[in-house]
Formats: sequence, C-alpha cells, structure tokens
Amino acid sequence: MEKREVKGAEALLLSLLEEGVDTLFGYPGGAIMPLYDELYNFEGRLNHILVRHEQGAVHAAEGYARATGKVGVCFATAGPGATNMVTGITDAMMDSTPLVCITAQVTADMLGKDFFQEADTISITIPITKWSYQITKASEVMSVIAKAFAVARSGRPGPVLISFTKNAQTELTEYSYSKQKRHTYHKTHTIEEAIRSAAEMINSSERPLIVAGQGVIQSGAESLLASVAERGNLPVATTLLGISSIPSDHPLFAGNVGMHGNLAPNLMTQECDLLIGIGMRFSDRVTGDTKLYAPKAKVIHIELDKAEINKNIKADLPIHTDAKLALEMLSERVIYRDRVSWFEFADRCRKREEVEVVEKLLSDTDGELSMAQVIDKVAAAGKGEAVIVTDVGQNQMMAARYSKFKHSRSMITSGGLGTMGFGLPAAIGAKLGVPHKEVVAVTGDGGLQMSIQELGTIMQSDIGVKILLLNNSYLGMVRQWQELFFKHRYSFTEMVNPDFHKIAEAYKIPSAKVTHYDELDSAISLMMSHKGPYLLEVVVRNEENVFPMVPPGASLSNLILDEKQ
Amino acid sequence: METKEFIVIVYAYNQIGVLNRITNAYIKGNVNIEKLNVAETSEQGISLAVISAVTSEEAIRRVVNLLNNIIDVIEARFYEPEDMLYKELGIYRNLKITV
Ligand SMILES: Cc1ncc(C[n+]2csc(CCOP(=O)(O)OP(=O)(O)O)c2C)c(N)n1
Repeated sequence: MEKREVKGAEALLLSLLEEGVDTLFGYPGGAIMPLYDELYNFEGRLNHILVRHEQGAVHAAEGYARATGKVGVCFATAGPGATNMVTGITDAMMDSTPLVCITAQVTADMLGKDFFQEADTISITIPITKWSYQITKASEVMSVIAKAFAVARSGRPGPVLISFTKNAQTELTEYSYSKQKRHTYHKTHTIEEAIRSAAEMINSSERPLIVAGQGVIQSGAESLLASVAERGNLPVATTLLGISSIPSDHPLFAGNVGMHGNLAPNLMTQECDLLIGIGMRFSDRVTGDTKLYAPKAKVIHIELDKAEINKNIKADLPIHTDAKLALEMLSERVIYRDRVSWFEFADRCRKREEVEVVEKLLSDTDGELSMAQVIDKVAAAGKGEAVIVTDVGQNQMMAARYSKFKHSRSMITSGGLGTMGFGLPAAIGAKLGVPHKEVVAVTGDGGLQMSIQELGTIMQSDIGVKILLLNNSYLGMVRQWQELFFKHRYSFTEMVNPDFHKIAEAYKIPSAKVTHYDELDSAISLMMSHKGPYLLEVVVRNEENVFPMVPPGASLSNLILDEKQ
Repeated sequence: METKEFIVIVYAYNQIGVLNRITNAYIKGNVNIEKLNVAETSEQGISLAVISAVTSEEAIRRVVNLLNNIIDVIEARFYEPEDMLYKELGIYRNLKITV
C-alpha cells in the first residue's frame, strides 16, 4: 500500500472509513477542534450528526449499533464533553453494545497539569469500558483504531474509549491501515462433548424451556434459534434484550421472562425440568430470588463471557462459546418430542394472562387510556415491521409487553442500566442506521425531558423518528413502587409538565395530542403515515400499574397480576 | 462465608492503565488487596502481578473472571498459598526482579 503523510486527525478519519463507518454522532469543543477541522473535508464520506448533549451522542451511537449490528461511533471534546458521555458509556457496557467513543484530550506535554478542560478520561472510564487507550502520538492512530474496532465488536461486544491528545491530532504520520481480524469460535473437543450432553438432556426433557438473550442476536443466530426450537419442539422465551430474536407470532414463542414478563414463561421457568439459557446472563430482573429460581430444572448455560457462567445461577452444564456455534451444533442433534401436557400448561398460563390482565386493559374503551391500548394499536399499525426504541419505566415495560416484532434488532431498550433519557437519542441513531424502517421512540414524560434537547438534533438533521409520548404526569414506574411497596406515599414523583405541543412546534416538529380512545386509531395512523419526524402525545391514566409483576426480590412463582394481590 | 488467603497471578501487557484495570477488578468485586507486587518478566513488554487478598473462594473466582476479561491481561489464575510453593515457583524464575 502506498504510504503518505497525513495529520493524526486525518489518519483517524481515514481509519474510520476503513472500518466501514458512515455515520457518527458528536459535539465539538476546544481540544477536538483539529479533528473537527479535518472532518470538514470528509463531507459526503462521513455523516456527522450534531447532537445537543454528549450523552445523546453515545445513546444515538448505541441505537445505531443495536439497529444495524455495526459499531457505533461518537465524538466529544476533552473534559466536560468526555464526562458527559459517562452515562451513555456505562449503558453500553451493561448492555454489551459495541461502541468506539473518541474524546479529545489536552496536548500530551500538558497532561497531569490540570490544563484547561483536562479530565482524566481514561481513569474515569476504566470500570465502564471494555478497553481504552490514550493516543499521544499520531503514529499510534491506525493500530489503535484497528484494535478499538476489533475489541468493540469481538467476543462479548462493548464500548471502547479512545482519548486523543491535541498534539496527536495535528502531528504528521505515515498513513497505512490494516484491519484486525475478528475472533471466531471453533468447535473444540470440550464443546463437542458438552453439546452432546446438552442434546441428550434436551431430548430426554419433558418440560424444557429455552431462554434467549441478546447473545443470540449479536451472534446472528436468530434463524438457528428458531430451527433448533422447531426441530426439538422447544418453547422459547426471551429476556428484555432478547426480544425480537424470534418473531412474536412464532408458535413456539412463549413470551418474555422477568419482572414484568409474561405469566407463561415465568411460571414455565418454575415448572420446567430443563432450562437452556442462550446468550443471556441471568440478571436479577430475569431471575427474581435466585435461590428459588427454576427449582425443578437442570440448567444449561450457553454463554461466551466466562465471567457470566455460574455468576448468578449455577449451571449444571455450562457451554462456554457463542450462541451461533452452539445452536449450529445442537441443530444436528435435537429430536422432536410432543410434550403435549407441557404446551397445555403454557397455554393455560397464556389464557389466564389474556383474561386477567390483557383483555381487562384493552377492552376498557370508555375510561382514561391505558398505555397497553396505545402500544397495542401502534403494534397493529406497525405490523411488526417497526423498530421500537424505548425509554425507561412503565412505558418501556408496556412497550416490551405489547409490541409485536417480525424481525431481529427491532426492540432497542436500555436493559442493564435502565437509563432514563435513552429513548429519544437512541431512536435517532436507530433511524439513521435503518432509514428504510419506521422507528418509534416510546417514552414517558419524565424520560423525554431528560434528553428533550435532542429534538434540536431531529430538527437540524431532519431525522424521521416517530415519538410516542405516554404522558401520565408521573414518574410512573417509581410511583408504581410507591403505591405497591411504600404505602402510597408519592414522594416527589408527580410531574408538572410543559405543553409538549408548543415545545414540538418550537422545534418545527408536527405533533398531536390524544386523550380519548376513539381518537387513538386515526392519530396513530396519521403519525405512522407522516413523512418526517412527528410527536404524538397520548394522555394516559395517571395511576396505571404494569402487571404481571414479580415484586423485587421475590420468586417468579409469587408474581402478582393486580393491585389486590 | 469462609475466607482465606488467595494469591492471584496475572500476566499482562505492560501498558499505561493496565494496573488500574487490575486493581479495579478488586474494587468491583469488593475485595481488599493485602499485597501487590508487579515486575516485568523476562519477556519484554509482559508484566507479572502477584496479588494476595483474604476473601471467599466465590469472590476470588469473580475477581479472576473480571481480570481475564481485561483485554490487556494475558492470563489470570488464583492459588492458595500452599499451591504456590510447589506449583508456581517456576514463575519467579521468569522475573527480572524477584517479588
Ligand atoms: C437517569 C435515571 N434517573 C432515575 C431513574 C429511576 N427511574 C426509573 S423509572 C422512573 C420513572 C420514569 O418516569 P417516566 O419517564 O415518566 O415514565 P413512566 O414510568 O411514567 O412510563 C425513574 C425516575 C432512572 N431509571 N434513570
């Protein structure tokens, strides 16, 4: 390859192009000015989206990464720019989202002198990054960026932070790039043995349950998951981040597990004789009380992060590899069994939830609106094709419960960290990643106001996200806990809100507000058919609760279906 | 939970910040470090850390798993002091500086 001398900043941008980057999210400032100056020359090659807060840049990069499977990239200046990214990076770490975050740093000579806008970004982000590196010489740029992308996307993905000193941005270096190979997984003797045992356990199980997590999506094993389930006649439940790894209308899809999951998969967890966790980490939101979790089951845990194996739930058969390889190997070995009474049990649970929770909410068309009715109608209008990006709280849990998905990577939500303010910027990133798809940001009145400034990003870059604001004038999920576990003491959860219509108008975003059931259908179809961004505010019941619910720390068997329990 | 001394041996690339990541694994696992020695091995660029802590086996396993997830860590393992003498004496000979 021909070598030529370029500035470190140009070398970095060229390196991004080599890695297939086309979109980045960022915010400029003093220390990063040489990089932004160079970026000016990359118009048409790199689409830089100017966000309104660096946290938004990270969430947007997360949304982009989760919708596309590519690495999300974001830029921020030194000091406050970098520290504003901390929440987003932590979110990406918890949810294994591949990111390369590039923050500027003061000139290398000045490091450690509390120079203007010096923050020790490397130390601040150690616990929240998979890897980080401070580039102090232009000659390091190419190899460090190559490693950054390789680390971010290989194994269990995660965020990488690169601190880029100002001098390294302006110094000259010889440019030549070589990509680092992605780690691949191979059949080993140990894995073959384990898969053989797993197949035996599956084939002899009367009451198996697969619990699929995001690892299935990240390894691209969605169709293998469905085919293994079909071959063996195995019911599949998903975790919050595993949603959309199997189509919602798949006959073997049993629903979502966890605190606000469905009745069937939660009770099936407690009744199953074999639980097969695939690409998931048995988080406390999934297991409830771990001592009482899946009491009748042997556990097979397929997971590529060794640190997750036996961390929360002891596995009878741990299989330390990626979901795709394991499912590929399993698919040759599982055999079909009827399991009539097991599926009848699942059906009884499903019907019970249908009658006692779902129909009760959906059929009440006179009173104030339920979030469930809104999401249900959006799901019908989206026909399973839309990408749903949620914020955090009741709106998130309702979106997870009532949305329908046909395709993988169409549910994007902050699971591990539960970051309010995630929804709107993540939807921006998702829409830029999959512009041909409808992207709906489902948010509460609290969460929207945590990143409401990103409406400016939508306006400036004309990003066609649909914003569905479920306004209950409360920090709803916290209020729900106060009602159920803190004797109705609503300590600082009531929200006095602005006129969201006027706010949208100020940002030149068309909007509508709905309060009655009979307006809902037409308002939703108007939103969905509108080209460009749109905000639909739906005023919902103030004091609605999300059910079923596994009370915090309780066993899945003790989930409750309504307030009376 | 029963606690005792565990010695963790970590091989890592000698880079700025790697020691910070190593000690961070102990912070995350809420395990107090009693002794910590680091030195370069006879192989250039590769360091060896010998870290002792009094904790439970469960906690030290968690810490070691975290250590093994650090990109610039080549390998981390834990031992009880008795194992050390017999099985791992060899590692000291690899060191330029004895620990
Ligand atoms: C940044 C952040 N701060 C606080 C919380 C705690 N929290 C979880 S849900 C919730 C309420 C969310 O209210 P809102 O956005 O109105 O949504 P709703 O639950 O009403 O749908 C709060 C405050 C959080 N998850 N994230």
